[in-house]
Amino acid sequence: MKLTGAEIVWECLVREGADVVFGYPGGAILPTYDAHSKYPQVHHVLTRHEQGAAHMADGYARASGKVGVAIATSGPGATNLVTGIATAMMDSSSVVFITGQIPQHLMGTDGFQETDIIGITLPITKHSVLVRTAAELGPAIHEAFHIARRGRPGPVLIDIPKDVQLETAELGPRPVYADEPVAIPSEELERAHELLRASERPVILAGHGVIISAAHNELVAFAETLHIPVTQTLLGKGGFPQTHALSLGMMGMHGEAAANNAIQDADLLLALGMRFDDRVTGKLSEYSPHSKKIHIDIDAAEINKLIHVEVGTVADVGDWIRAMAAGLEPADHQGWIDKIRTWQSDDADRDILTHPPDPDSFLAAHAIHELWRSTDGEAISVTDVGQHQMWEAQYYPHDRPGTLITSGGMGTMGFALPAAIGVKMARPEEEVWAIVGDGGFQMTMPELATAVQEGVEVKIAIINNGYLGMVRQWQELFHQRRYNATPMFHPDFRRLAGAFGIPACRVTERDEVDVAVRRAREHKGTPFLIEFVVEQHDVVYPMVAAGAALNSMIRRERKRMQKVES
Amino acid sequence: MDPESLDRQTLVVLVCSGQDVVGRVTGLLRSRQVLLETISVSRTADDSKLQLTLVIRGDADDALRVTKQLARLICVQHVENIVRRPHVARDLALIKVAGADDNLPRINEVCREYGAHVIDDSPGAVIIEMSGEADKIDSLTKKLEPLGILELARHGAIAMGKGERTLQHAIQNKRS
Repeated sequence: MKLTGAEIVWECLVREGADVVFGYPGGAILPTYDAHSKYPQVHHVLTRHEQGAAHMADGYARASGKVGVAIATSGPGATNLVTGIATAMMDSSSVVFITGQIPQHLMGTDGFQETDIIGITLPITKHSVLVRTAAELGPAIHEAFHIARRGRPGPVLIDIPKDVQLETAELGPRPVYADEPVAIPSEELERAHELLRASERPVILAGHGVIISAAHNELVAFAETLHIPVTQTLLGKGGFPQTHALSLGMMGMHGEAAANNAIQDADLLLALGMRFDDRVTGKLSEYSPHSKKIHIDIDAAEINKLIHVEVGTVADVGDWIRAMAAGLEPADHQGWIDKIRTWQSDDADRDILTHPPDPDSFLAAHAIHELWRSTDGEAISVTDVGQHQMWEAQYYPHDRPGTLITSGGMGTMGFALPAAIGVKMARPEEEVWAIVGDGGFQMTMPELATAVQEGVEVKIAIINNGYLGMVRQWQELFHQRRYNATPMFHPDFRRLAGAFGIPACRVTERDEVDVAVRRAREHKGTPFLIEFVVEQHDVVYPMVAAGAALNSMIRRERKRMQKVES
Repeated sequence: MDPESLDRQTLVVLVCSGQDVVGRVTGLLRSRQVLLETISVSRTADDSKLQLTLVIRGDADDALRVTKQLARLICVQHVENIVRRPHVARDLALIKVAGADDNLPRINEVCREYGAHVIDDSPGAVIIEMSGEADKIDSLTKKLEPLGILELARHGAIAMGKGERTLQHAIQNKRS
């Protein structure tokens, strides 16, 4: 059939199963928007900024397991996507970005709203393509979806000049893409078995790959059979039930001290679908000095990138665990686990939930933990970056995969609200909370209007401490308390919400959390916003200073004061 | 660190000829902090493919890390560090030397010694062409310096493994 390039775009989106796309129109993408009326089966969400569209598509992709789609025009429309593209790249999220480009006869002449978006995004896309004819457009879009989802997922950008959208061409059938199974060499499996059998102090490091591979059930069985404790990366949270007896919680800069100590003391690390980011290793030369290491990752470039490993296998984590299951002998590491328990009990002595510095203080950790309790731990939380993100990781246990969505690698402020809108649209049956600091919220708060226009029932928890809290924390610890540019004015969030037609309330005490959360849960039809006004000067502990060894943590004092009811 | 103190590694990269291939490869090398010495873009027997030959500084592990990063690019079909197997590598240089009459016998003598050729002797200057291993060209230019090098244009290495095995074979092996 003969279609215009613009129609080909929608036709291919339909074929790829894209039922929701996020975007913002403009001159160079206008023919594509014009053709949308013929494709009502694809719902278009008009955002308030292209960055919002990018994060929504990213959140949609992470929550649905499908490919997200964001559309923008040329020039500023395209450049506004950039932070969202980089965020998706760092966190291996499958998103196809479609940008309009000025007509080809004007390209290269500094035409109105011209920008070389392919050039700008080369280092932050898995792949990108400038489509020069309508005939190439269909294959390019199908290929983009295929590339975005296969192997290690990532963002792909398609730049479509306006004349290509207007030109007509024949659209052929969707190509069939064969699976490319990666054979796991049996000697690598055997070597892994040997190291596991010989180990007395093993630790599993579970990353995002466990969730992307949907290998969570296999991981539980594997860890239980071998009796190996499991610690998670930030993006790995939910890939192993946090309330499981073998769970050590999060590792790394703000990880559980017991998890970090276990890594440092281990004789074997089994890293599954994670990439030894500097936020999880601390000082590389002192990282887990006594351990042998097994690393499983779908991306060959991650093996031996930062940490030398004895066994590095390029594989899907699920495939690897299944391949290992044959010949797995049950093991017992009770002595090792008992040792870890002593570290955990020391952690408990410093816990701010039970030992707050001031019993009357309302800490961000209280707000987040009570939010978890009031939602029965069943909600999906979408966090931003900074202190609230780390407290969420520490005090909001995740037992199911896909229940934490956050900007990990890129650490993008402004991610949470738009991403949560995308998550809620992907999983309308789930309760979705955006947990966000007062700074990050102010970066993308116009997307409240998008949520209202779409009737998205996302819940918003602003953790308001009146500072850019994590930066303030670094100033307190490493810059002699010179709080330059971190105290921050904020609008009256309740009245702000009111201006958007969003009900809101403010919580200033710990025992008010439950009532407020219940109100939010009962509300239908629009978002609901809660502002938690929390202690301004709290610090996330433990903390491994940048460049320090993983077990040299700055700790919160053990509290001697009387326990208060948690 | 002085890059000159590090070993040279020669990566041959087979890519689909198409949009932005060179930009993608050089962009990756820049963002991954690779010490790139030369890059050559060559046609191959197959019109749909180009060979890039990259000479980088670093050890074999550095080269392996770069190899794996390059292999992630969709346009890259095969990468290998050719230093690891028997191979030939050739640079090409055009060297313009002051052509005063009393220089000519010495120029001819040096050219004979290195297998280089005078390909132009316009009044006042001669142009010498030399193809060979990088070290040999280094040595030739050193010999010619006292005679007065007016201009030098030097092409980075292109390289090829010895024997029957080809890059195309390597791609087929990967698939099978």
